[in-house]
Amino acid sequence: MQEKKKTITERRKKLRELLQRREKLIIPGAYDALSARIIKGLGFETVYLGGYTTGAHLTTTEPLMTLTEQIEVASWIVRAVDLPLIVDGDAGFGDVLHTIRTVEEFEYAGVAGIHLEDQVFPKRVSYHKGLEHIIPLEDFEEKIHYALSARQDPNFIIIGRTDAARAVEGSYEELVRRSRALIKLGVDVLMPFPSSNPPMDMVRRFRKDVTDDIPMLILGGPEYPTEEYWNMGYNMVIYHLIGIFTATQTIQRVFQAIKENHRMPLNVEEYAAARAIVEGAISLSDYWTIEEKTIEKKK
Amino acid sequence: MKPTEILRNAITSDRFMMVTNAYDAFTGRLAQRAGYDMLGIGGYQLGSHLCTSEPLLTLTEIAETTREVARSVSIPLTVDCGAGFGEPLHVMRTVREIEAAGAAAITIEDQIFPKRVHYHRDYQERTIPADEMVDKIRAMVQARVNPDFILMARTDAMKTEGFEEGIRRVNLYLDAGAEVVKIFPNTLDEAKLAPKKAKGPLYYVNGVGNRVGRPVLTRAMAREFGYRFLSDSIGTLLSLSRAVEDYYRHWIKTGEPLISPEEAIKIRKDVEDVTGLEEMYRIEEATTERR
Repeated sequence: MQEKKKTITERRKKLRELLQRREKLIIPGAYDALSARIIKGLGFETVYLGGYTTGAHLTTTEPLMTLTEQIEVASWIVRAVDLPLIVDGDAGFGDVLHTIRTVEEFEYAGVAGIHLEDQVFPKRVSYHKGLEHIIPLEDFEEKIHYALSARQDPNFIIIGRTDAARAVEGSYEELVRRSRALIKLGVDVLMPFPSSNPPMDMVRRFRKDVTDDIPMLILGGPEYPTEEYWNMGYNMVIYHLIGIFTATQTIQRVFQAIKENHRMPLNVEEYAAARAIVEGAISLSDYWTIEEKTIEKKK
Repeated sequence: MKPTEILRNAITSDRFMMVTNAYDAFTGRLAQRAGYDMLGIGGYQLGSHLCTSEPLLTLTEIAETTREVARSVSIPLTVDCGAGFGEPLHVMRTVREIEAAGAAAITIEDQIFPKRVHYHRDYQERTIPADEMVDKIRAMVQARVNPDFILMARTDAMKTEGFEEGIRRVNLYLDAGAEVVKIFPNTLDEAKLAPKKAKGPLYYVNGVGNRVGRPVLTRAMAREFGYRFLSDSIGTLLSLSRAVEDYYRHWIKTGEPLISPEEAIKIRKDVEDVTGLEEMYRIEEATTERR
């Protein structure tokens, strides 16, 4: 709180620089302001907010989540940390006009970039189990074209994502075709796989077929070290779900233990240590300093 | 009586309901004070209020306005939720959000989703097949928590497919679980005929300022024809827009306020009464201001 925060413009420039250098990045996924603060505290240069996590966080599921809800969570993170924030912009929340509003809202919220995909809208919950549908390429091209033209800040990053690798209407050939179309349209980053578990031979083959010098974003899975993705030509590796998964798991374990044992599963020191992590992240001591200098001084 | 009960009783007792659409707590209170039986929140006004247009509104924005209006009035509120924000699952979330926000009723229509702004251009609507809409209505029934929460369906099919298809859909939607249907007859003859052909209560939406000659009914006409609800969908916005613009332009043009000081004192008191300042003064006098 005391240190000077980077402006929205500075954050976007920073992300643009990282992309131009084709910097190898690990991008952790936050799901609220506090988790973003923890990520910043660890020294990461960028942070990500997914749709899955907001859908889970609000228990609506991602396909039923509204643009306003995702903007709200993104705004918390933008206010809490001065890292460039990349957000899942889903399918643009509708047709071309809705996609334009989506770009405008995220840009206004101070986000550094969003990814937009070719899934059908309204989105269907079944895509979480791999049953996925995509719109025709011409419709998607229109959306991306208007999304790119809708930005005010040229450093606001638009990431083109295609789900053709696993959609009912897709195929490997379609993935390559759509990826080339996205690159041609001028997206800043390509995200060629919608999930963290695409077949690795396809992931490898894709980068041999699509050799363009463009930043490539991929969702990291548990099977491989980050270097594996970097070495295959995917310089941006997002770990989008592990934060909310493990946080949830911990909450479940802790309360299960309290329910069974009528006692916290942490001792006094462990409890204090956990508390210190939260209070450090929300900068309590900075607030105390201000109170000491102002209202508490007068007493 | 709770707003949901008022509306439920009105439907079972054949009471005629005069409705106007508000788009914030203040206009809702003004309408209640003027004597309307019921309020609506409509997409056209809210979309304009936020300068996004109705087809780009999010469910969250409508739910937020619903909360603001519902907690500020005691008459029933029905909320127009467009095409329900998607497919049956989205419709279910929409119903839950709007019911939880304090509305007494919700309306979902048979237009396509995502909605297109073009439908404002002289009602160039596009409708979904009736059986898909029936699925959505069944989803509404399934999602409702309070059985007194009223489910309204709206068909735009009289415009897109003709009067006969419109009437067929009215009765189909009533059978599927809608309790009231909003309709848009194209002509005065259709407006007269529709209540005779419908198997349940009809809600007539006066689209004032429509450019397609769709009839605007008076209260006497709506009652005589057999409608149970007559709503003014955008009158609040049109009248406010005119009054506010006149006021602003007068200031800029003349450098003086349009409203005289004496008149302003009266209006200001009205505004404060609508807001409820007197009650708050009483509480402060009994507590913080007493010290």
